[in-house]
Amino acid sequence: MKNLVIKTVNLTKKYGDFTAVKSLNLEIYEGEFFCLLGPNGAGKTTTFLMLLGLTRPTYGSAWIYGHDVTKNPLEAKKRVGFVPEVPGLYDDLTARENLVFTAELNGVPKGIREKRIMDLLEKVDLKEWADVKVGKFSRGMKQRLAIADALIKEPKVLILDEPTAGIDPKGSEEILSLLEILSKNEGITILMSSHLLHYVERYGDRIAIMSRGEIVAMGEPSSLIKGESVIELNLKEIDNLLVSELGGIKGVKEVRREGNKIIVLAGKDIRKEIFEVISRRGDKVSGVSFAPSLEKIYAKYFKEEKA
Amino acid sequence: MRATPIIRKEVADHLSSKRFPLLVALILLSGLATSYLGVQSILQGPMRETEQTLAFLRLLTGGGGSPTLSFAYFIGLFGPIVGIALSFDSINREMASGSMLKILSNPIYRDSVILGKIIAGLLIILLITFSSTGIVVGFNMLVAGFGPTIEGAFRIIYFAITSFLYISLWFSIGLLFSVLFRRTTTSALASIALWVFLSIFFYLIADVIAAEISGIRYYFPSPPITAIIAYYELRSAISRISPLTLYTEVANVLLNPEIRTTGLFYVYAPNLPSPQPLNLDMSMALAWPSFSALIAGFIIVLTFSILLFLRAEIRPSWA
Repeated sequence: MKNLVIKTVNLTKKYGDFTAVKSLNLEIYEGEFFCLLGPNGAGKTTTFLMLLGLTRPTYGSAWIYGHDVTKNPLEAKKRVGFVPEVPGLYDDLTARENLVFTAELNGVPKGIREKRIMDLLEKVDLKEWADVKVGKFSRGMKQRLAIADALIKEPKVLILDEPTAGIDPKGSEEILSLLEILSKNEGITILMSSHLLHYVERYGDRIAIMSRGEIVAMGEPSSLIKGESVIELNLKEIDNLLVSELGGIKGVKEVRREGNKIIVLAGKDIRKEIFEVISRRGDKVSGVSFAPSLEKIYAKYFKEEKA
Repeated sequence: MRATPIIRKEVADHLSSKRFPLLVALILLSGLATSYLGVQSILQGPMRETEQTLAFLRLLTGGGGSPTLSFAYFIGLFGPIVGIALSFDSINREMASGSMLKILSNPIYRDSVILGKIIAGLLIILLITFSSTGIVVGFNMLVAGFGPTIEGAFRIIYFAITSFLYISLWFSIGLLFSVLFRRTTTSALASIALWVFLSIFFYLIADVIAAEISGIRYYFPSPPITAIIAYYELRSAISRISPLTLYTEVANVLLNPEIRTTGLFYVYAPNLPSPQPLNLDMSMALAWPSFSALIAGFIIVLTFSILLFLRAEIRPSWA
């Protein structure tokens, strides 16, 4: 059984009457890629700040590798690397100088400092940029450097607050691939918040959806997908027999006809069964869309929140 | 000590910033210009040896034949600018850029962060005050052709320490506003507003308060001597709230051994021998209340800054 890395019990943060995080209970295990989803103000950043000992919880407790983050924040912070949404690097320093500063803060011995810095710059594909001032870096490069900066202390946990915000899809893909390597190959536990549902679904081992400071859904992406799925089929011709055949598939909750479209709502992923029916009948399909269920769940909670 | 990387980085930042040469030039050029004019005015007439010793010190404070705008005057005027410029954005700039969050996510205590910034700032102030005082004194010696006595040299060293303390007090005020306000422009404006208030308008306010409390205006046009004394003493006491008053008092007493009181009156009996210049110990004793008030102000403001920073909610400005 994997070791418990992060544990929170009834973790709560209040600012006056406003509750930013409400009785959060989390258990994150070694090597896990754990994603927190939620809109702005859901309490994700506040949760991270409490885990880093930067904000004192109003109630509850949090532990990182068994160290209470409020009573012993330094021990917890020795094991955690943090990448904020805005990297907080010094633009007037070079990539190497930024890493040297963080290495000094972490007491990395001089003898191994230079090698570790160059290894990390290579890992984040910035070795050629080592002596260039960070002010000249793109957003994606800064974010990769911030990851290297967080890794300088060789942490066991990496907490990332919206690491792909404002970065183009290619840059986001690079960052998430790097995180996946760190998680799968090096056993670093990743706790990340993001808005990019499709990436979260693809990379996350487990996902928690936060709304108004609470976790409203949590589990593996596949288990969350089980809840709902929507398939839209654009057909040249639609007959009633097709509608009834689709309605007969196990797990289908509803089949709606809208012009040349058929919308199938199901309690699980039934794409395979639908395509079997269509290919058997020889219907001509001009387009298919599968609404990712996570997106639907996400939208559902936020619609409730707006209401 | 984990503050060492912060001290090193802050010192490097200050030294490589565009502000640093400007601040040094501001103090140094004004000091050199007033010294040159002072030396010219002193050399115009013959002087006895004792007068020469005193004249060298007076070159730094003005008065007694040297120009009114002296080196000490310019430190009194521009010193706050130096202190404020070194600290007004030291905390809130890092909060806004996210670097404070990054620093504090490492295994380092908050007090190490603020202490690192304070120590670095004080080292820079030390460098500015002692180097500019040294350069101005050296320039004076070169132009005047004579230097201070050993006691005079000690008086100049104590004067440099006082200047350091005075600028450090304004540094701590800038730091306090940097912790209090999230925007750097707000902290800069608040610091400068306080400087203008305490250096210019406060004397007008002190005058009005003293006149009201002493009741001097009710006796107009010929108030009794007791009301006049009460008025002047009150005005002098109230104006000591301003760091500029305290600094000017200490600088004048240290650099002018003929000053025998920081108050208005010096009690002297006609049958006593004529007053001689005070020795260093006596001048130190005379300057001590104002000097200790500067120390107290510096420590109080600095303590407030540290406490507020330790209790501050560290949140990203974009969240």
